[in-house]
Amino acid sequence: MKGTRIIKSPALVIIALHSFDTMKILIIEDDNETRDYVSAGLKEAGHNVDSARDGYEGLLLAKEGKHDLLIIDRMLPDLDGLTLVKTLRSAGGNVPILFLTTMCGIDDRVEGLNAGADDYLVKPFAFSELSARVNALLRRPRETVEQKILQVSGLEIDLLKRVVKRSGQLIDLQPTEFRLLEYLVRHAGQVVTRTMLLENVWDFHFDPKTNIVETHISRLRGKLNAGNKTDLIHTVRGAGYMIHEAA
Amino acid sequence: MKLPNIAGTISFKLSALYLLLFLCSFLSIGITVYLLTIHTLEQQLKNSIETEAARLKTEYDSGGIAELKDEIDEVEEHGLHTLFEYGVIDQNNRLLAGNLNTFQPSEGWQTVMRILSANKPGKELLYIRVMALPNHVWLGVGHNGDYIQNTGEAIIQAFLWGFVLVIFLGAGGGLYLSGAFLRKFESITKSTQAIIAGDLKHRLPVSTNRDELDNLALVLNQMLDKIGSLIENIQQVSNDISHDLRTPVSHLKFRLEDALTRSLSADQYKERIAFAIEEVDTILSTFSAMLRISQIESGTRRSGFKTVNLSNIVVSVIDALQPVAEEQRKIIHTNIEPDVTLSGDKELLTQMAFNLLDNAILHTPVNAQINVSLRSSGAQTDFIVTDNGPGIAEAYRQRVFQRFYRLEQSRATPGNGLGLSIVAAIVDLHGGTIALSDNDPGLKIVLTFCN
Repeated sequence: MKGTRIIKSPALVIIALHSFDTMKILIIEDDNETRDYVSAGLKEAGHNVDSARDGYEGLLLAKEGKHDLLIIDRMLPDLDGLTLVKTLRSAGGNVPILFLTTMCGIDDRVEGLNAGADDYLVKPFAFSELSARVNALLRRPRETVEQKILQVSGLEIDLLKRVVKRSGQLIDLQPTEFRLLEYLVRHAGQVVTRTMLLENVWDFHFDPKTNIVETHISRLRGKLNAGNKTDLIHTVRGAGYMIHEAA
Repeated sequence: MKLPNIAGTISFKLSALYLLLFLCSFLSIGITVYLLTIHTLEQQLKNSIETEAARLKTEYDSGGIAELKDEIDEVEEHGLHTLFEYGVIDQNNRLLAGNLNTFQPSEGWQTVMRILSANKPGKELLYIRVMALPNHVWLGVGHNGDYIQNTGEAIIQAFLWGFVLVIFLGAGGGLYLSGAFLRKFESITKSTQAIIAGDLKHRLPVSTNRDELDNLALVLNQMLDKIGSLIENIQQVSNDISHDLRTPVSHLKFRLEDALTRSLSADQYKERIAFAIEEVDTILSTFSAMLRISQIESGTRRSGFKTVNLSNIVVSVIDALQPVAEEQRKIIHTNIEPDVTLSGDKELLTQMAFNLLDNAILHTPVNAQINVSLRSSGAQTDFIVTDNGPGIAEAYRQRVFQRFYRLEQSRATPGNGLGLSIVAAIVDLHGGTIALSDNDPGLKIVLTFCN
């Protein structure tokens, strides 16, 4: 990606977010505190942020079609988030949408995704979680071409043969390990959170008390780093994991 | 709440309608009987008049007017046919024989209303058969319709009495029935009022004859039971919140207050804030687990049930937890029958399997053996998790499903005491049962679902 720098220290992750192209993001949220928190964080990450307090105002702004991403809350005055997403999608808009739901609505996730949202996030959330998902969504359109071989930092993943090589050396992975690595590589250069991995690699939509992600990552690391190679998977403290785009 | 008066009740309206319909049919039967009887009697009378007239005509045909006059005189004199009246007139309406002269000289049937003589008040109807005889002479044979009239009146009277009787019986029966109906309703209304007033344990009365109202009361009682258990549930949740969430929140408050009163370096503050956030996250996840349980227990997810492959779910959960078990040096043995399906919620069944296996790994010592098996046998599906750990004493086996309940032996291990409550709620949502038993040594958990 243009302008992305290699980051040696996890503390520099904010700089990594800065290095993305500036994007226009619209947040539609009636709760002032959440809206200001998200808006301030995204602005700090170098994005251009518009905000709306209710469904109608949000719909009007969203219909202008000048945003790269919409963040829409489930519960909104005047026009609820679900209807808003449906309206936008039926009008043909294909802008990425991140849907915010409350923790008491376990059905909201399915409803939101069915309505046409691309991802969801349960409130309350850490900003690092939101930021990781925003970046993943902003990158999404670039992945429309179906790749057969993913390559990053001397790592080669053959998606058809399900074979992984590092520096030309074959690495034997279990199916789950393969899916985990594939997800990390597809999101190379981005922070991937524990929840994102649980949802996308395991299809687990609940909060397991036992940290299975950590255990699986550590196994994967062990296999990838065999023979004293440098660590490919970086732990971003308080956020998640990341594989860098270029060695 | 005021009860409607009897005339306004459905049962009264229904019985009034039935009564009206019954009276209408009663009336039409009466009219038919009356008309048919009158018609038959008239026909009989006319036949006898006709025969008499024909007899006299033959007299005239053989002997002329003189013979006819003799015959009439003789009959009247001897009173042989006193009920008949005779008359013979010419074209100028002059009476040639007999006494009857109230008919017109024209062939056919005539009826005449006649005022009776002084000693017999009232009127009577006279049926007259007029026969044209040769030489412009007309013979009239009449007979009064007294008995036809009397029969008709008797029929009308009988039906009128019947009519009155039916009205009384019908109205009385209707009143009695609607009264009984009303009393039942009144008792239901009273019970409902008692429930509204706060006596939630009160139930609607159900009599032994099991009519529609009793069935309704039974269903309403079942609904009240359900509402009662939901209310209990809500009370339980608020109790849980006050007891089990207050403690960590007050701990957090103490720590923050403590940090505030001390002068610490920026790094030390950061460390304490990070710690506080961790605490808050724990509280939030406990919250969301509780809300999840309530949502599962409300049963709304049932509408989204689909056929799910339970075998795949269990395999994926084992796959996710296998490295964790290995890390903790515990061995998982599996015996999963492939393609066992169940109508259910994939997400929840995944969590159910995960929590059970996670629990087994968490609460067993190093080198523990954990067995996971799934099998389906036509009528039922069994998901069994056993271990050879410390097990649970029989007295505590049911309590582990209660929210926030943690065994003394496991207080040191991380957890919020909600894992098995969620499992219980999910199993219940899917209409399954949980049985805990001794694995000798260890714990055996059997989940059974009906296919």
